[in-house]
Amino acid sequence: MYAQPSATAKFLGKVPYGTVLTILESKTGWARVSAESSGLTGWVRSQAFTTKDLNLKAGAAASGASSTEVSLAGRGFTEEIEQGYKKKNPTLDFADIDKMEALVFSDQDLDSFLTDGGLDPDGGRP
Amino acid sequence: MRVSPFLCWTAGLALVTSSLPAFDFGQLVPDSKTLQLVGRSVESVNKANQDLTPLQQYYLGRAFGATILQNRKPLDNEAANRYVNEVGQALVQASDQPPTYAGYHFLIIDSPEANAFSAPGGFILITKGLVKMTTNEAELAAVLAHEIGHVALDHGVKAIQKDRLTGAWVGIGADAAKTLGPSEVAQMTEAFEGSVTDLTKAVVDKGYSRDTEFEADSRAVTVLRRTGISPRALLGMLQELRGMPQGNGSSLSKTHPSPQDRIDRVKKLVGSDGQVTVSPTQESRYQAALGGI
Repeated sequence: MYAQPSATAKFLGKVPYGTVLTILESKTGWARVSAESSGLTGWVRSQAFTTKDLNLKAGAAASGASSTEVSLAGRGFTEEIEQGYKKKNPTLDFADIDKMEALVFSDQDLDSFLTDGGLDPDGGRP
Repeated sequence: MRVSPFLCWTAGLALVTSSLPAFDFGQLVPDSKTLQLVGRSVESVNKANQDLTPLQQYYLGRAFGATILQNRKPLDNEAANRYVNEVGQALVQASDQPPTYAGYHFLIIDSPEANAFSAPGGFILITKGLVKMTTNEAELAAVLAHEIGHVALDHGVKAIQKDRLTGAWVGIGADAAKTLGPSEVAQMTEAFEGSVTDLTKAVVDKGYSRDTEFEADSRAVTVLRRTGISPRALLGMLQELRGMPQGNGSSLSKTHPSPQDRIDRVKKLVGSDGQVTVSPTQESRYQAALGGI
């Protein structure tokens, strides 16, 4: 994370695994974000993110991640592994898990549920 | 400005394609405002469990759920399951851990025993017996908040033996440019199977450590409070459990500290919180959904 939208600007610090960031503003190629856990606020490069599928194809390491990193992220437990596991354990009940996952709520539904019940739709956030 | 993690799980995962000092490698949930970054580093080989990506945790959670449902059937009551999910989602929006890959999901198991199970990836199963022990929406929320706490604190992931994953990933990591060969797939499937076994053992048979349960209670207190529910509802629920005849809840008492120990700890956390109140709307929707189960 940098103090300014530039790689030559002062380096403020790293953001650890799993951090949720809030985007405060965007500029071409950069976003100013804050990390709630550490209280750190600064600029990160927006091109660092893409919407490509997580399941990496060979060659995706070209961008700088080492081959080990790529394999860790893209080759772990995947659909393919689940299929193999299902085959070995045919009595497992994945159909009900699929059904369980299919139940989703819109933001509006959830907001109404909270508000109607007199609960806090902002989860205690100001 | 901030969007709750719950609200942003509509898109798939993405990954970093250029290396930054801040993020060696990662993925994010695209959303207009909130990004979830999952950084990775080479050192993660040594702590592979903690660094299971949300996608991998998701597959583990699915397999865990499928294992639990081998011998237990879901409650065939759409309204009841829907309501439990609504209460659960209401709490998730107040929980401050990174979102899971596919959001949280809740399911009532058609069993008279009193228990609840949670797995990585946000799969939470609660028995009909435990649902029936709750007396109102706030107490149901207290149970679900405890389970959400387990997920948020990665308790399931931590229960997986350290060497399960390290071996598989190191072996394959050396050859990452190729697609997985049959022996690598077999190795990974074995690691997966072992991980699910560890998880099931921890959650169903052994239980997490006492401290882990107290941590989940503590997290539940925070989440309940943020949602606008007095965390005293958790105390109420624990008192119900304490009053349960011996043997009735054997599966839960086997895996959790005694309700009295938990009550003693939770009491210290809820000092200034008011009594549990339930609005007429909360009461009527609770009765409508669960009164008849």
